[in-house]
Amino acid sequence: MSDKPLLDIKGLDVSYHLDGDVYAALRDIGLTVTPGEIVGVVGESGCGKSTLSASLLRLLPGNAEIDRGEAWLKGRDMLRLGEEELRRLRGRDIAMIFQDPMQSLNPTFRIGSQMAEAWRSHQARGAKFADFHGEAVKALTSVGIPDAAERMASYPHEFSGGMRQRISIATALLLQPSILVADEPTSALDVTLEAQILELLKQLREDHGTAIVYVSHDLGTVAELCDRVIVMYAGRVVEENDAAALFDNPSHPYTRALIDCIPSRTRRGAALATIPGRVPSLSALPPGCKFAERCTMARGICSEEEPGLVPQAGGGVRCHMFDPAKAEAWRIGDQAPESVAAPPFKVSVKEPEREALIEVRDLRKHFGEATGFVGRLLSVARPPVRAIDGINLTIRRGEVVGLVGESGSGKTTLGEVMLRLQAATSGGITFAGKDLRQIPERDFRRRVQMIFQDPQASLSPRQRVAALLTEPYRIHGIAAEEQQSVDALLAMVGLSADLAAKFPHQLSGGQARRVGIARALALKPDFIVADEPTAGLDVSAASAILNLMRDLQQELGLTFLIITHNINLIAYMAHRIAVMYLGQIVEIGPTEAVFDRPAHPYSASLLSLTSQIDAPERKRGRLLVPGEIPSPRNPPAGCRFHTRCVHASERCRSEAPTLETAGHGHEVACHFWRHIDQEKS
Amino acid sequence: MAGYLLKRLGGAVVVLFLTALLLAAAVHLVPGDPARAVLGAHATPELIAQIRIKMGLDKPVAMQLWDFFSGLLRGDLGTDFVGGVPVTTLIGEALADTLALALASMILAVAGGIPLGIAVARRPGGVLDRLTHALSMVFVSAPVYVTSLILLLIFAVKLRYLPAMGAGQFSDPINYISRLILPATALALFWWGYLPRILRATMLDVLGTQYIRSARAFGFRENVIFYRYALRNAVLPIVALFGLMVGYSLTGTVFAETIFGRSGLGTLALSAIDQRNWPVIRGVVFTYALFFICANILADLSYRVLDPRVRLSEEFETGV
Ligand code: SF4
Ligand code: SF4
Repeated sequence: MSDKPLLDIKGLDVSYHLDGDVYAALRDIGLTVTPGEIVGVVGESGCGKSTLSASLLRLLPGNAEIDRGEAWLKGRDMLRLGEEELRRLRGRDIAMIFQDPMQSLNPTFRIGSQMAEAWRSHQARGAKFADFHGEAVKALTSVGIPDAAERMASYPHEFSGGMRQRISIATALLLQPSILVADEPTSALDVTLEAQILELLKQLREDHGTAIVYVSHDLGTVAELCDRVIVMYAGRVVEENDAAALFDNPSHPYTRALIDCIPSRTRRGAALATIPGRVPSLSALPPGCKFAERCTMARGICSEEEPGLVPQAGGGVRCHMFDPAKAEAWRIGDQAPESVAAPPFKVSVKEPEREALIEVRDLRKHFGEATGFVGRLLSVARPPVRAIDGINLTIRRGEVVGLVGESGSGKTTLGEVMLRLQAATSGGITFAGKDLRQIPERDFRRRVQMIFQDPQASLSPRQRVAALLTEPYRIHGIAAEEQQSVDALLAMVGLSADLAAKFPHQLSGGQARRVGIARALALKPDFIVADEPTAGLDVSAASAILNLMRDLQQELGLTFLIITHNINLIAYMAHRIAVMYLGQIVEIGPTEAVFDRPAHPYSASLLSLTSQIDAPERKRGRLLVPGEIPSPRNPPAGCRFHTRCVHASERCRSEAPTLETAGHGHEVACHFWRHIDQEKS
Repeated sequence: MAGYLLKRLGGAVVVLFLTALLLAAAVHLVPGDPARAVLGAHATPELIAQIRIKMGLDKPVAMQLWDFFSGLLRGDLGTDFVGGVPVTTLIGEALADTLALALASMILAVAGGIPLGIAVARRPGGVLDRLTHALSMVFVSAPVYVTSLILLLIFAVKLRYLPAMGAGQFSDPINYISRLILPATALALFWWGYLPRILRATMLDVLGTQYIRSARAFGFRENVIFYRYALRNAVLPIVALFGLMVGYSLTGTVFAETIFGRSGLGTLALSAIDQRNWPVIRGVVFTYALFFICANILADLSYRVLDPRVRLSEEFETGV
């Protein structure tokens, strides 16, 4: 694989110009890609990953300027090519697929026509248009679009997100570029689809020898897919190495910190590492090592002189403290989690655990349920969406339950119905021993809270943080002596008091998330539903939030329902895990038990597909789930999972399994769980 | 789609019904005796009584409403009680001239506004962009009667390029068209100011989207990206403006017709109001309402047909 590089970037500097300020987005970037190689690019947001990937095709926005450097692709320096020559390279020699598959296809053109346009753009290559149709069908079929010939007449919105990403890949396949740049290609997808797309990328390399530059903030998928990895920080490459070496033995303090931030089962019970501070502003970079402010290893020289790239076996390390001779001994001292002296939170009595706090019986939530005579007439043609369809769940006081499942499984709806943010269609909820209908709405609102997925959107933009934090007190008319001060609330979530005067848009993602948590805690709730508490955050910010939630949970005995697609997060902090599929719980049990012996084929797959960066877990077999989750409007008869289950048999198609005991507190809904050997399948 | 169409048509019928109701009642809502208003202060009581019968004012109000509605359904808008001509005939004659003017103005608006918008979007910040930016302010804020007067003064009175007054006859098409040019331009000016700005904005929006970036990454030709990919999506929201355009043109014709001395719905309405000629007033206003509503439905439908995304979300709407 290591012949002459296909792509050779040398000393690339890119700056953005905005309102008279200059942002040093990339500095002195070197990157080589050899044929058939998969190179990963990782780093937090703001480190230049996306600028780098766009630079590889010279697809930078208008206010970006390439100050310096060379980019050799097949013997030609792309940075010195004219627009037309460059256009001919794009797509044919180097193509790119993007993060949001929902937006990368033109919504008003049929996909066949878009692929045809791509084909036509490179006709100079000698391909005849007459061949297009056959080639396109071949490409679409090979990426797993069924009925490709007919589907070419469909519009993008008629496909799911995963399908659209496949179409993008098929378009690339049609042009057969030697390099494919994939910029966060799976970030918007569920694990099951992510796994399918990653498989597809591997396939692309196997079948066509395509080299891939895989840009991602998700270290897990990078560890799984890539041969070589570069780590970026503040526009620089700070470490480059073979993937295995890099993840097993990171040399740069930043790389190590990134890896240590990731929640996983093996880190259960311990605080996750955090990286205090933020990526420095690209318009005012410090003179020395850009990481110095956040580095636990920093010495005097670090803030004075910028380190050069010190070679190591598989690449290089940009750090003063790195000594290749002592690479083995290189360890970074245990980092203390962000220690903020939180004032003691006034908890009344710590209730004994084991007592049920919230109990859900045969809960259903159907959307678009026909009401009235006309409604029922019309509904013959259109069944309701069965978002939740018969859920039983008991959460004990002080317990953390993780709820996982693909989008469309109904997990967010369940959280909202439990908090009475939506009315249930049928079924009962008991809260602290009382029927929910007997508890006045106001009292209930005081005792339960939701931590929203998008904190910026859930915080009113016109209010300052201080006002946002005390708003719950005003709403519920809490007496002044029972209120906690703004400073205390901020301190509790590890924020400094001077943030009180800021507006939400002035906060970073992590800070906004913390303000959201502080707001939720202001009323000392008993029960909190956290919907994707770390989604969209960088690993370092995410780990700090998780530490915070864990600490608060232990100190205050909070009860949490954590809704997430991030299974590692559940593995790290939930007592129990519940797996949802099409509105029903298919498996529930103690985290340890479910992770050790998943009984349901669906949970087994989800767990196996979760990317792991820890060496022993990394190369584990993966149980792909074929296809996509069916519409909750028409759930399959029998076992709802049968359309995607590799173990499905006749019985599964007609008879719906019910939850049965598979161990202590471990329940599973599958006819054949006893007979399925999850390891081998 | 069919469900949506039914919904819209149902809505349109309701609006038309309410308009008709209002029009039928208007006669009684205006203070004073309508018959006396027609005849003036010095009419004899016998004459007034005669007119009242002619206007149907002697019957109970419910009966009057019924007469009006049943007439409407038969396509009978009553008789002009000044000249004794059926109102439908009057409107029919006037409508042709008004529609010709409205249509001509809209054709001019689109034929001038869209290409100008494209040219501006090609080079944002260029000379043309800055020039049209300044001019558009003037065009958009100048009322039709001002632009009409200015055009009339310059091109008809001063330069004598084009005839100043009257609508001409269809039988002499050259003459007819030459008489359309000035009023139609006066009505189109607003859109020459408005359309390029809108198109520039939507075009730049679309050019900044991910799918355009994606297209570039696959090496699409710049011309394809601009004229095929971006333009189509940028023009879509403008289609939805069509209803607005019809409304603007129809109201604008009232001014343009008066200033250019053209026959048409506008002048018909004005003289009818002058004479308190109720049947004609009702007929004209009802015709305006009909056009306005139809244009909006048409605009909406074509937007739906052209944009596959709306077709989809539409499905959800009627589904629930
Ligand atoms: S150079 Fe210094 S500050 Fe920078 S990463 Fe190395 S030890 Fe840390
Ligand atoms: S019941 Fe059948 S289809 Fe459902 S999960 Fe078990 S084996 Fe698969």
